[in-house]
Amino acid sequence: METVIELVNVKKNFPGVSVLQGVSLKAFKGQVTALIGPSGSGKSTLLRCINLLENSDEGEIIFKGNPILWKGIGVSRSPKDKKQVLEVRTKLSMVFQQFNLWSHLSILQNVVEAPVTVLRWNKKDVEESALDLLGKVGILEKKDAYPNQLSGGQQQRAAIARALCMKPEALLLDEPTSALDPELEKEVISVIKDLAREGTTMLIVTHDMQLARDIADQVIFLHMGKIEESGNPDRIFSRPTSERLKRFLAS
Amino acid sequence: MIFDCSSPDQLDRLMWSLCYLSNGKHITFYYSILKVLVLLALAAPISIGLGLFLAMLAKSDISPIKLLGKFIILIVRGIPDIAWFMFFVIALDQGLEWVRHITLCPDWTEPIRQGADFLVCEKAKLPSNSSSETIHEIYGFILAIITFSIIFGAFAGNIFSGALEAVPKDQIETAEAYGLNPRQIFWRISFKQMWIYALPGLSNLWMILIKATPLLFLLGIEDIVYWARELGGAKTPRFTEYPHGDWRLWYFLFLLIFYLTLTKLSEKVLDKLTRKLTYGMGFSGENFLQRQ
Amino acid sequence: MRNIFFMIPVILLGYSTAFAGDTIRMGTEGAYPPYNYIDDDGNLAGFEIILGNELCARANLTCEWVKNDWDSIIPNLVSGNYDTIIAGMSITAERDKVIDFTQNYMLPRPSAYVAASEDVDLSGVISAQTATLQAGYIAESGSTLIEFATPDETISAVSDGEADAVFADYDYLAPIVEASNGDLMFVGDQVVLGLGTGMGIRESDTELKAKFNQAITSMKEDGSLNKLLIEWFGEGILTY
Repeated sequence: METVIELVNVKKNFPGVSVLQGVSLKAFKGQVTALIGPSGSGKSTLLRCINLLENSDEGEIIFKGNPILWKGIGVSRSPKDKKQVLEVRTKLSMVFQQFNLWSHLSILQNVVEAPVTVLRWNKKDVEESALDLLGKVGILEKKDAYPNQLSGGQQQRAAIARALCMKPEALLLDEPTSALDPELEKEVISVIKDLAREGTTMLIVTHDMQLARDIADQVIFLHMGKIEESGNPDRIFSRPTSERLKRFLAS
Repeated sequence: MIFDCSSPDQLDRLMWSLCYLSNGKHITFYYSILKVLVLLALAAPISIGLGLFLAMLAKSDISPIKLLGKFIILIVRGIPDIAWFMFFVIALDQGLEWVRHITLCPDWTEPIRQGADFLVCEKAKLPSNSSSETIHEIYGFILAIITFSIIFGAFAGNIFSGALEAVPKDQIETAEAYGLNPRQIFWRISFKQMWIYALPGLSNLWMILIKATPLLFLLGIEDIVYWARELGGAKTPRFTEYPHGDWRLWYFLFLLIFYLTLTKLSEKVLDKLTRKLTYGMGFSGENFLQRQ
Repeated sequence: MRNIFFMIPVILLGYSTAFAGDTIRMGTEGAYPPYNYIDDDGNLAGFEIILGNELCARANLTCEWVKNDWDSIIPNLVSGNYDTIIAGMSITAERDKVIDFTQNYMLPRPSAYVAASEDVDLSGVISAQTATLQAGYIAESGSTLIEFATPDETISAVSDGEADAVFADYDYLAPIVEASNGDLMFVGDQVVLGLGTGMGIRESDTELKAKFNQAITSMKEDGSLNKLLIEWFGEGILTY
């Protein structure tokens, strides 16, 4: 199995608090890796360290076998090679908790923006592909609407289409349903499940245990910046071994 | 003129009014209204351009540039407009003449300032003594436009700075996450979204600019305030064919109406513009979901 | 290298003339009939305009007229915006400190009080134009001075009741009193102030002063100045 993302002993400190205390994991191609854990456990930070929105202080981040090159050490370290950063960001598309569609662009414009501006793909081709994706997530009729005119569920589906339009190696989803009302959650969950079924590589942070159970190939339980336990979902959810995990699942 | 104004004292009221309002002096008054409109038409875009430039300076990652931008914005805003007007017009005028003086008259040995006098050689005078008063007036007007633009440019710079800050960080971060480089993020995301936050401030600034146009009067430019005062003052029969008492009230009433109309029109246009630019972004309290 | 750098704004913003012109810019107020005012066509007119043109002709100078508000008329002369002040300005010691004057072309004229009624208290509120002899005189006297930027406004102050009387040049007031049909009248005594009316010139401009002095002298000698004075100020004017 091809390892798309590998982290080795990644640490991240914010002033006064140690958010990641040495995390190592592997995310595999065609598989869904779910990150679960209580709030403040560092799940989102971990995701943001992977696509270099945050700079970790220590540890290796390896994308498709290539480790990120750093300059400086510790808190002042930053990626050395701009090209590498670009590669990581364009191959790992993020879906945010708050959707974060660009408010001055229509839905269609949102979806085509990065592929056209960053990847410099042909606009017509990208538009075709975008319309396909919008249809796939079920909001084709909203292509010319503006984000503010859509419901939360519709916006998130548009955000997923935007992420997919980059034809990424993997999707990074940061609590994609947390900001949604239960009625609107369903439509997004349905899209995510479809993607999982199709073999999309995903690294998803979620506190929807049911979803993790349904789609994950690998579940990683994070607690206070450390991996407490990990394994396949059946075992994790029915036979947790660590005390903390037991308590977490019970709550 | 189309009506016969040769003997005003024999005309009936209506004809007298028509002849009066169309005499040479009044035509000059109407031209001065044009001056105000030209000032507005030129100072506004120049101020916006300068403001954008200053805001970009103030946002720069290069420390001295950033400091410079912030400093300019701060001092121009902090010192009263009138002080700037007087300073700029005199400083620019004398400054330019001085530069021309040292380049064009290198053999002029006498000091430029003699007692209270500011003297430069004949060739350095800007505009030169032999050019007509009209050229002088145009030059003075241009200096005024430059001064207005610098002052209002600084205010605009402050507005744009704030507007750029107001663009939600999420929007920027998402663009980063998708691989856009800083230049692309600035022009495609920040710059475009900023206008929505800048518009209220800019609309306000436009109104202030309108109200500030009488400062032209302080600069010695014959603007509508100058002419309203001149025309309104009582006139004795010895020196005019159209004697009248103190009509300043009427003339200033006219100014009032003129400015109010300008303001009202501006409001309408700016409203329309705001609605157009913020379409879909949910700023004007539109409720789109209702329409679906 | 330095020159090129300086030349760019110079070329962009100005233009230089090939010759040092003989054009003299004559500064006046344009709000003080009969000395200088703006006629119905919007052009400068008045005693001093005629006088100024004649003097320029006699001095072989090309003259261009410039209007400037009274407030800044001296500062702008000194800055070089124009070359002379010919605006009914009295020669005084105080002004002489900042600028120079030619010989006078009008002997000192009386200043007078004008009020809206005969029995007005001249130790009350008196209006005068800012920075004039008359303002200075009132300030020194026991009365309360209120100043206005233009001569017009000093008159309105009396009509409005803001001031008890106005104190200004007799020649300026006479046509106004006449036209007022009895609403305004002369009151009190006339006072002669100042050393006569002369042209203001920059202290460093000695050559120009000499030229104009020459021209004024020639007008006094051949009687043309007297003729002009009588024409504009009536028979009562003191002549040379």
